Amino acid sequence: MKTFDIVVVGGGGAGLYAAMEAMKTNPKLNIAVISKIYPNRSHTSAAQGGVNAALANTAKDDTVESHIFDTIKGSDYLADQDAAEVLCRDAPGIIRELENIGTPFSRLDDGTIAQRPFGGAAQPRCCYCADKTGHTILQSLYEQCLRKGVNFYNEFYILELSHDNGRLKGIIALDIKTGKIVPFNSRSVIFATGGYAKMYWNRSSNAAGCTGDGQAVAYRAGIPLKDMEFVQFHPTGLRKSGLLVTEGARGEGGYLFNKDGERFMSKYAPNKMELGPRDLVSRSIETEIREGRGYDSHAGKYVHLDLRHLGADLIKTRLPQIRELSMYFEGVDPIEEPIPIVPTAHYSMGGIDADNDGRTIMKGVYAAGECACISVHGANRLGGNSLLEILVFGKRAGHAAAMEAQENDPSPITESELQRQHKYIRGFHHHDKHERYGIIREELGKNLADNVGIFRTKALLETGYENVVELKKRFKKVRVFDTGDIYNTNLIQVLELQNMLDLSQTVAMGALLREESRGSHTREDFPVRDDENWHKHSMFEYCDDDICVSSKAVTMGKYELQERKY
Amino acid sequence: MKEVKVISFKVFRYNPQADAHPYHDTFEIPVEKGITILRALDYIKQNIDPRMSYRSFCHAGICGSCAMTINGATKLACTTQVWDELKNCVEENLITIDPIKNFTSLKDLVVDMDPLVEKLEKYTGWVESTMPDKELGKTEFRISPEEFKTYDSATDCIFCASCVSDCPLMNYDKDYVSPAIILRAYRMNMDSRDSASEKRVLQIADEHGILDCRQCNRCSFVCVKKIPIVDAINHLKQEAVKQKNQGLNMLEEKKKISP
Repeated sequence: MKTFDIVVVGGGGAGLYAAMEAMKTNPKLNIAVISKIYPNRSHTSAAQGGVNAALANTAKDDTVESHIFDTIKGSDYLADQDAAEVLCRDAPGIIRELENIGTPFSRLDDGTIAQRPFGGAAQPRCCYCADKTGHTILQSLYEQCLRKGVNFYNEFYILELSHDNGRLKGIIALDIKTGKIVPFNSRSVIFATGGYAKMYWNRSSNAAGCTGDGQAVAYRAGIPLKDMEFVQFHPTGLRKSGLLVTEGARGEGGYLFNKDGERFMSKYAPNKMELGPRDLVSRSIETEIREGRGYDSHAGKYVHLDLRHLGADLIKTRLPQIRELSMYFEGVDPIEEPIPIVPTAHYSMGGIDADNDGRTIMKGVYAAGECACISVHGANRLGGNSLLEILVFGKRAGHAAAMEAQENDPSPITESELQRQHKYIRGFHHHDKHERYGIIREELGKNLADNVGIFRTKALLETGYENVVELKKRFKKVRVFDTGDIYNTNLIQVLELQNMLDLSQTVAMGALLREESRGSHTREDFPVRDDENWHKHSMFEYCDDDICVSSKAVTMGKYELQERKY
Repeated sequence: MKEVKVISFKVFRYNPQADAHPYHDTFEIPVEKGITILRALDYIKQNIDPRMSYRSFCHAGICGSCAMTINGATKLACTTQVWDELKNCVEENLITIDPIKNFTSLKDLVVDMDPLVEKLEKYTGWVESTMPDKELGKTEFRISPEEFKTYDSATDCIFCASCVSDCPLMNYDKDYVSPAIILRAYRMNMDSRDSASEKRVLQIADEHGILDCRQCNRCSFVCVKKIPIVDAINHLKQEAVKQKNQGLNMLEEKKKISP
């Protein structure tokens, strides 16, 4: 059996950057990228707004220090300060590198990369390409990986991290096109599988496949997850579909109105107004709706995002995708009418616990991007920092793995491990199974949105947790009706559901235990941040289908705890 | 009041493990106003036939996974409204859904995309930067907003292959470079950071190349991102003709020198 030096799981921005950097570090290495979809389709492409870097092109007095402070403050002081510093210091170099290899960015008149204001940032430092920034970055990285001859295993789905008492052997994956179970023996594995916010299902802006596969697989293999309770709700999702209207819409000057025609952000963030950080704006919208100042419709309650005063020209040139989405999915042209919006689950701050080079507790296993929790976003991520994170830490993990791969000498993945997976998958076809995955998936999403949503209380969270446990029991009876081998999406969706269920249990558990309000995590019964008892990361370990919870100190630096005001 | 109509979907089915030949299945479902073709397929998969396979991912028109032939024309299932599609039905309230054309079906609506990815590699579908590796990350290239405008629209391409599906030339020459690949070549060639434009033009001017295109404009017409692909083709065609002529002249010169 062939042994790879590095297997990257996931072909989004973090995975592709890791692969590209690893090849650059040592071109002789045998590197594979496995991805359950074609990499150029990854969810990185949905990031519309931009990527932060203190290039000081638009605002000449911008500094890396200011970016670090904004990130830490935005995180409600739960970010590890050394990690936030790495993120922001690496930012200008990495954006220039991306630009140098051909990523198209919108430009200022002097030919430098254009930057615009973004929520929670002191300066306009968000670099962008119209409102397709993530799309163009993803294409550039994919193209460069093709150019460098990276081995792609497209449409392979990860089943298991194979190890021998914590000694890495590689991964086991399912070839979706043939149904074959394939071992990838490897000296190192980089998880870059994206986030888990799709567990909120119809109340999520995420692609259908953002099901936390990497986190779930790592978790079941004994690697701890961190800060899972922190799920960011993006303030502006489209009312009917949960699809996202980029923060760029507010960055360009969009207003939020309630049904009384009031620009209500003046009550909640009088200085920053619509450009307050995401958690704050989401809570403000939710409060307006709960207190009866939202609009009502059969597709749910909502408020208005009004772009009309920006004019047709600006909307067409800088926000074309937003206009398209509003027209396709709401039937609303933002040039003519305000857009109906409601907060939507958008980003998972939690993930696989990893150090500043992506290393996890298992030697040879790395994590990067949304799938990891390094942690740079703490309790709340700033807009424009997610694309930055996948680039900076994708690159660092790729470099570290390339330098360290030779230290590991993995024993081969055995036939019996493959047989166990075969048997497990065949078990889903058994005729005594009767549950339908689609129903469980929808109930999971609704349960999380209702009970583990923006505003949380002990009673709600207890219900939410119990419901997840109940759904996990019902999952054991789920049947896969498609018994074929070739492109069995029925099977894949069931396996994804299992991952979402395992992870949602940690989300609900973490939220229930954390008796304070911090960043995206708002407990109505504990409305104040409690630094004395809760200024720490939550850690989740898999213990025989139960969760062992512990905590880890936050790495502090020169920024001291202070109240977060905007 | 919710507005609901009962609509039939006639869907292409083929499972090579079980079926000797492809066939169509018809599903009748209630559809509210505002539901997309993709959500209708999701409904069928969840509630009627979980065995049906199709690709989808972002549900928002940006990933390019779900291009299909809907009532004969290639579109993204996730951005096509069911009710809008009723006006294109041959038989009332019956929407036909087939895989994209010019690709092989692996199962049901899922096609083998690898031949197109291979063309991306064959035709240098990436920027070869003029900046050496060791200089990367130090300074920005200065690019005028005007230059950015020349390839802005071309970078909208999501590689959904709608243009490949509807290209009449592809129908009888599967090795034809294809509109999506020419668009990539144009995007790279207009970029002043790139150093491979001559190589790319030679590649697309070769056999099965751009000179076979008859400019029927179908690719621009079906493009889900409304990219004027034909303009890119025209531009590169002129380059290709120029290079071909130069090449012929050089060949002539060569003959003169060494008979």
